[in-house]
Amino acid sequence: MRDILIILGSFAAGLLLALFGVIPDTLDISQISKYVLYLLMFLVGVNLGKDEQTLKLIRKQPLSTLFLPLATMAGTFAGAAVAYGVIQFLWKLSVTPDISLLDTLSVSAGFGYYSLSSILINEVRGAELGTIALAANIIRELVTVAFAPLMVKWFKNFAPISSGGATTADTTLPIIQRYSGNQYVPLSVLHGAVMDFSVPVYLTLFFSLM
Amino acid sequence: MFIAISLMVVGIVVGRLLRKGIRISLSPVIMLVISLLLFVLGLELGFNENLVSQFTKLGVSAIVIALLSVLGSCIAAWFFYRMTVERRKGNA
Repeated sequence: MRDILIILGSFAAGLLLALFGVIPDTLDISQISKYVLYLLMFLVGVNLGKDEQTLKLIRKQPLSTLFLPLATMAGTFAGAAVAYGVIQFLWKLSVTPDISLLDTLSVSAGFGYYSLSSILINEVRGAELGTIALAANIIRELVTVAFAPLMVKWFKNFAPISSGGATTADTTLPIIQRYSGNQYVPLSVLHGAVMDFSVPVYLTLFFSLM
Repeated sequence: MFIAISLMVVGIVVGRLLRKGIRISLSPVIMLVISLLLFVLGLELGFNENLVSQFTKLGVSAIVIALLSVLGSCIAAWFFYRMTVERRKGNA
């Protein structure tokens, strides 16, 4: 929750400073931000690589649990395909912008990892889709936290883990532990790690298809 | 993008090799860099007046994508649960 506030605060600060003309629109920020992005990707990698506890946990899991991330990916992309149809319908009523299927899939491929996905999408697809990605993936995390008990009731114990997507190794882990059960904590961590890694992979794939 | 993802893989290898050497947590540094980049995303949105006027539209599409992704995930997780846990219970 604190992270969401820091992120939204930084985003809002940039937005307001630009809107009120405090920072002039003459600076070419995109060149600098590209190298900062490279630094970020390297740091995220180092953080993943030095985390021995997660690696140990992953080795102990039965192979079949590796299929839960696959279910999450399939469910997310199926949902995003339906969302594409809904958005096209709403676009005709001029309620939403016209977003392509690949762009819709890219936004959903953030799997709740709002910081990294919005930054990567902004870099390649621009501020419009970057902002949608930021909002959509924050909403995904918040909905998971808010509806975890109902998800377990309607869709059984794995539902909050799939819904949590890439956040299930950290921010949504406590809520999953509470409603899915203690025995699913290792599965949740494994799921989160696999999903985290898959975000830039899917984004690279979708961007290359455009 | 290929550069970005390659750097992440290089990072994983470096992190793995230096895991005993890195005593400090990198998370605050990562958070700082992320905040900086989201500040830039805010700036780019603010500079684009056309996008600012579309703010509600962006929000509506974000809600549609988020909710349907969550629903799709939940249904997929329900199938997965039935195929693994409930089948095991059934055999026992």
